[in-house]
This record gives sequence, structure tokens and C-alpha cells, in this order.
Amino acid sequence: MPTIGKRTAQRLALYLVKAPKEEVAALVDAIVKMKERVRFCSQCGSLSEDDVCPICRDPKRDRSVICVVEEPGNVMRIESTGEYKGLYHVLHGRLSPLDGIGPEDLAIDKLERRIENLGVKEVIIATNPNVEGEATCNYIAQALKPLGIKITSIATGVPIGSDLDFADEMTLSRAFRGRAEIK
Amino acid sequence: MRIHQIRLTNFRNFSDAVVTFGERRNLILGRNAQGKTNLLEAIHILGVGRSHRERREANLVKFGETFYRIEGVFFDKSVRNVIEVAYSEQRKRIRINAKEARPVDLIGFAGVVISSPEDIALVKGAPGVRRLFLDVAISQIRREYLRSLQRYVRVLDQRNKLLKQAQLSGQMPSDISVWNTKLVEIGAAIVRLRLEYLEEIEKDVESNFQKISRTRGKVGLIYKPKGYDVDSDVDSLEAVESLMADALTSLLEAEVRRGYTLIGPHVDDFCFKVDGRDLRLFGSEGEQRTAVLAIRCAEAQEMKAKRGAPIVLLDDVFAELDDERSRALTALISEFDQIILTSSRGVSLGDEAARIIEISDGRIVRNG
Repeated sequence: MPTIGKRTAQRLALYLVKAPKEEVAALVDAIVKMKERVRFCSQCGSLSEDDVCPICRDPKRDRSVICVVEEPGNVMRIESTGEYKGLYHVLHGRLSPLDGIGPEDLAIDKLERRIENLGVKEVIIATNPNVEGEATCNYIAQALKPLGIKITSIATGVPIGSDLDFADEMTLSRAFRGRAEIK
Repeated sequence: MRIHQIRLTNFRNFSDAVVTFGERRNLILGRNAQGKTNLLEAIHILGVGRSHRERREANLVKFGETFYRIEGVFFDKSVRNVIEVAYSEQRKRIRINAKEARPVDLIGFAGVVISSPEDIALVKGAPGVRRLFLDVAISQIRREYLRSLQRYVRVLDQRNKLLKQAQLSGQMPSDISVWNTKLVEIGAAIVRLRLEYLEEIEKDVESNFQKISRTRGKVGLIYKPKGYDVDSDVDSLEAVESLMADALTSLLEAEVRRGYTLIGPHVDDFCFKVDGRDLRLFGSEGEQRTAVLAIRCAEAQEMKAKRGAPIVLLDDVFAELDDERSRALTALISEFDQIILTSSRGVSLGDEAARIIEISDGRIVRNG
């Protein structure tokens, strides 16, 4: 399993050996239920217990904005901020020829169809700020250009609570390029 | 930063040795093949994470042993720093102040410049030697250069994979254009910083060259990108980007045929000219040696100006110089802070007294 090394796996196994039977049974039950119930939303590709996820179903969400992310986990992170009120679109990956992932493996046609069906006015691309994420961002921006809608990417720059002295030059120069006017 | 002490375990011909260095002038003495260069090599590894002359880590391990370990104590004014590099079972481990670190974390931490007999390849050798010089020299003073290099290598791998696919399938993948964009964006940033660096050190290199050779030769360090030309009026990032992008467009077909990327900073070169004469082709042995010493001194001067005085490692640099050139080099290096110099015979390091370190068959027989 990802991020679990040999020693951590041993510790977890030992913990389960010592744990009460009910606790282990509850864990097994939870894992099985998750596997049975959780699937990907037929609309946005995020995690859902139904065909359409609660976010896509929610009438209060702004249907004119779609935020594009790489993985379902990114949706949860953004949701935990409470800042974003629009819909999502999960690519389930990023462009990476080395891993054999090309545009056809990402749900980009589906994104285009959703944009047209929903009458979306803005697409916010929130892929990771590494070379693969950036290439994916550029690719999507190019693909969506003919639709004539607003395409933005989330800002990258100086982390909150840190100090300018500790930001590396690349982060700083990006922060300068993406500077915002104070209103 | 300066180095105060180093401990070598199973490194090259050292079983276990501790050497303490003086704050300024250090002279490592010993007959040939006793381990003088190995000591400089170890300091260099603590400075940039790799040997200046050996690519295979396993060859750095003492014959018959399974691991090597280098530990250095450094001082940044009065702040003490400990760097450890160890290699065993084909794995290298680095610690900075007892915290696990990556090789890239070392680069620029202590700050080192080395001048060694192998340096002649800087003028005479393959382009890769000169690119490595630029990469190490610039990375140590500009963190963003190192970051760009890492990103560039990643883009290059991705793009080459895509070109390989195109070569096999005979079809151009639709995502080639975004990888072109990334290659140009990051590649041009690297080229721009290299141009800036060469321009920056050119005056120092010229003055160093003239002092050592006692000539008035006009020195030019000319960057030579593959697939396009940069001349003096290419002074913006956008200009480099557009030159690279154009070259890339015209080479795309050839790239698909070959299955890999043909242009970019990973194939570029630079040359050393005196009065318009390329020293690689038309320089005498003496001129070439003088040129590389001039470059190394300029590298140290630039580092001192931009990030603080480096530890200057000089491997047998006086061996090939006549008396007058030796005197000129002695005067030149007098401006450096900490110098560690190897020699098979006693040499003068100017007026300052040097700490003497004597090596015999991998053992320290005298230290101070």
C-alpha cells in the first residue's frame, strides 16, 4: 500500500493481532462496505456512494464554474477550505508519457461535454505545480480554448505563515508574475 | 563556509584518518600516490555531493571494504555545521547537521571550487565537461538554476519518451506541443542564466588570464547552443525562448526520426577564445592550462562575490607552471579565504604561513 513501508506494515499487523476481535471485525466490515459502496461519480469522477455525487447533486453549487483536479483527494482538500462553491472535474491522472499516460487517458472529452451541457462560464485548472501538472494544465487550456470561456489556473506563490526570506527564487518569481491588485 | 576538520573512513586509500585544517592556508604534502588528491576529492564530495573525477561511487570505497564514510565539520563564522556522506550497498546517504538530506541539498551549502589536472578537459574535452562546469558553478550560487535543471531533466525524459512513441507509431501525439512549451520555457531559463554567468565571469577570466600569462590577450567565453545562435543582442529571456522555439519547430521531424530531443541546454557548449582564437583548436598546451586556471579562479571570485567565500581546493596547480607564472598565480589566489593546496614539494603560498598536512600511504603523518 502507498506510503506504508515494511516496518509500518509490521507495526500495523502487530496492532491487529493484539486488538479485540470486535474491533478487527468492524474494520473489515468498514473496508468491505467501502469497497461495495464507493465508486466514481458519473458526472465529475469524484468519489461517491451514488451514481451522482452530493456535490454534483447540490442545487446550491454554482454550475457556471468547474474546477479541474488530478485526483479525488484534491476535491476533499479543496472542499475542506469551504472557499469554493462551484463543481469539480477529476482527471484521474496527469500527462506523463513515462507512465504511459496521454490525453486520451484523462477525462478531457467528458469535460468538454459537461462544459457545453451545463453552460459553464469559467474553468479553474488546479493541477499540481510540477512539470507534469503544468503540462496537463497547458494541454487542457489549449483544448478548451475554442469554447471561448474563461480559463484560469490557481495561483502559486509564497505560502501563508512563512517568511519571504525562506521562499526559493522560483516560488518568488512566480508569486511576482501572479501578483494581485489590492482593492 | 570553511572546513575545520574531516574524517575519512574506508575512502580511497584511507582506512581511518582525521585531518584538521587551518582557517586560511593549508598545504598537503606527500610523494606521488600517497592520497593527497583523495583528500581534496573527499572535501569536494561534501561540497557538491559528487566526486570531481570518478563517476562510480563503488570505486571510491577502499579496496576490499564494503562502505565509505566522510564526515566534515564546517564553520560559517562561528556557526558549526556537520556534513556526512556515506556509501554502502549501492546507496548513498547524506546528512546535514544529523538530518537526512538529498544530494541537491549539499550543493551550495558549504561552497567549494576545485582546480585539478583533469581540468584541462574544460578546454580540450567533450562538451559534457563544460556543461558540468557551468551546472556546478551556477547551482552553487543560484538555487533557482538547480531547481530548473531538475525540472528540465524531468521534461526531457517525458518528451523523449513521447518522441520514442512517435518514432515507433509513426504518428505525432497531440500532447507533444505542451512538452515543447515546457522544454522551451525551462530550457531557455537555464540558457539565460548560463549566458548571464559567462558574461559575468568573462572580465575576471580575462584579467586572470592576462596576469598569469603576462599577455594582453582579449578573452571571450562564447556560449554555443545547438541548433541556433545567440549573439550579444540576445539579452532577454523572451529572445532565447523564441530562438529555441523556432529551432525546435524546424527540428521536430528529425527528432521523431531519431526518437529523442536534439536541442536544449543538455547538448549546448561554450568555447574559450583568446583574440578570437578558439583555444581548444588553436591553443598551445601552456595557454590551455592558463585558461582553465583563469576560469577556476574566476569561479571562486564570482562565488565569493555572490554567496560568500568558497573553500578553494587546488590540486597540484603549480606543477606545470614556470616560476613567473607560479608567482602570478600565487598573487592571484592571495585574495581567497581558505585554500587547501596539494603539492609533492614545498611551495610558497605568499607571505602567509600555511598549515602543513603531510600524507604517507593513506596516513596523516603530520597535521599542523
